[in-house]
Amino acid sequence: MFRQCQLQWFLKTKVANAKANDPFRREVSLLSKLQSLWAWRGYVVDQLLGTEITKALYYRHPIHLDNLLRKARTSFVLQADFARRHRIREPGMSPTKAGAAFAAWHAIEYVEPLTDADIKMAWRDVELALRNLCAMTELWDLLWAASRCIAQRPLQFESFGVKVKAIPDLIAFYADAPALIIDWKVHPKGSYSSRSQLALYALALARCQPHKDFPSPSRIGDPTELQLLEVQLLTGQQRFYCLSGEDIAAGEDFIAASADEMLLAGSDQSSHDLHVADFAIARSPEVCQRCVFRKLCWEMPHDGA
Amino acid sequence: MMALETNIFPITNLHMLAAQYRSCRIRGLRKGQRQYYENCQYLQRKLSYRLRQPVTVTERSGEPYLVVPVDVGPMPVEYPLVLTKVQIEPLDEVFELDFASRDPDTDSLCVRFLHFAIQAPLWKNARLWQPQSGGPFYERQPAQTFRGIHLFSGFRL
Repeated sequence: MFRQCQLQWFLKTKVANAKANDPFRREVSLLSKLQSLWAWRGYVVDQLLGTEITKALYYRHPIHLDNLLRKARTSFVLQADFARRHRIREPGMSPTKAGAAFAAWHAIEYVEPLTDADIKMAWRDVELALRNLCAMTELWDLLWAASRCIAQRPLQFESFGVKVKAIPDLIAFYADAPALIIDWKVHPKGSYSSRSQLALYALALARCQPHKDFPSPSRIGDPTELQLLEVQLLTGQQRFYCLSGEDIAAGEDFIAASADEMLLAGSDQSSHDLHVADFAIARSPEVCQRCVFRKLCWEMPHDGA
Repeated sequence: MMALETNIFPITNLHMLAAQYRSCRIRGLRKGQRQYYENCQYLQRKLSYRLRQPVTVTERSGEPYLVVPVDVGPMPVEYPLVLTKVQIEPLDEVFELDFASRDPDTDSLCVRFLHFAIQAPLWKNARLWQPQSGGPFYERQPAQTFRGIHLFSGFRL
């Protein structure tokens, strides 16, 4: 986000505050919850996999496609209804209050075309992702062999003077093999490679303080030994990645460069000491048009800045 | 390493060339806005490639105007840019472009029109392909093939 638009990063990370007295900061917090339909349907899949897979593996219950689809459909319909009625704007509404029903769409806030056909297509993707996942027998064999699986766990470590946080989709630990990190992807063509993203997850798992529920002993010392798997749920492709020392070095360079840029931009300062004009804006009109903070940003005085 | 050659061809019949163009008002874009120049260049480049016609942005009394050939076809009514979405309003007045007279205001128009005029037959040439709009043209048949690698020679305007 920082590289695409520094101002967007500033608003999301420094300004957004749902509990602030300043109505502007509360509005920024509300807008920060908006998602495109595309991103939301991936989120529905991620959410479901995060709970159902770990539950099934923990209790050693097989996963049934019908059950998964039913739960997915319930979430999908509930959240789609909430989002279409734009209930995020109801007085007193919050993600906590809305619970599992919470969803907020960029297209509704910005009055952009959104048809029943678009929503049907989103559901079709969710259904296809789950069907493909259930058909991945080799992947399930890998997961059943794990001693423990943890989903959506934030991993934090310090690097080059900044705190780095990574949230892998799923980590599978093994008694006699290196840990496996899985990244679920819901892309129609499956051409996007999450190699560098997985490298950062590997770094995070290797460098973070082991959590209390990480199995002991767990083989996560060397990030190049970790197993990394990208699963393209819409196409059924699975890609294993092996990291070399150069990959790890490249990942660390990326963190160092990003940390430098962010520190120069004032990431270590309070929002009161920073100003909108201190931040570069997007160079790409596509990024600008898709931004959740568009309505606030376009009203800001940018002239001559 | 491949050698690069530059060929320079003078255009000797500028006095025989003619083109008519129309101006379009751009609402929502003004000097002093952040990203003004970047937005002007983006609009010029993207519309040129989308319409496959020479499009340029000029200023008149400090206001930006889009300049397009009179036969350009349907123009988008609005276009998204950074920090704004502009509305494009074609104006009725039509101008004659004189390629032979040197004038700072029209020189950039002339160069742009000529650039597209020269590219147009290349787009239609079945022996050439252009992987990316605005990029080089390559011959469809490889100049060399070795170890399973095809080497295509090409050129750029």
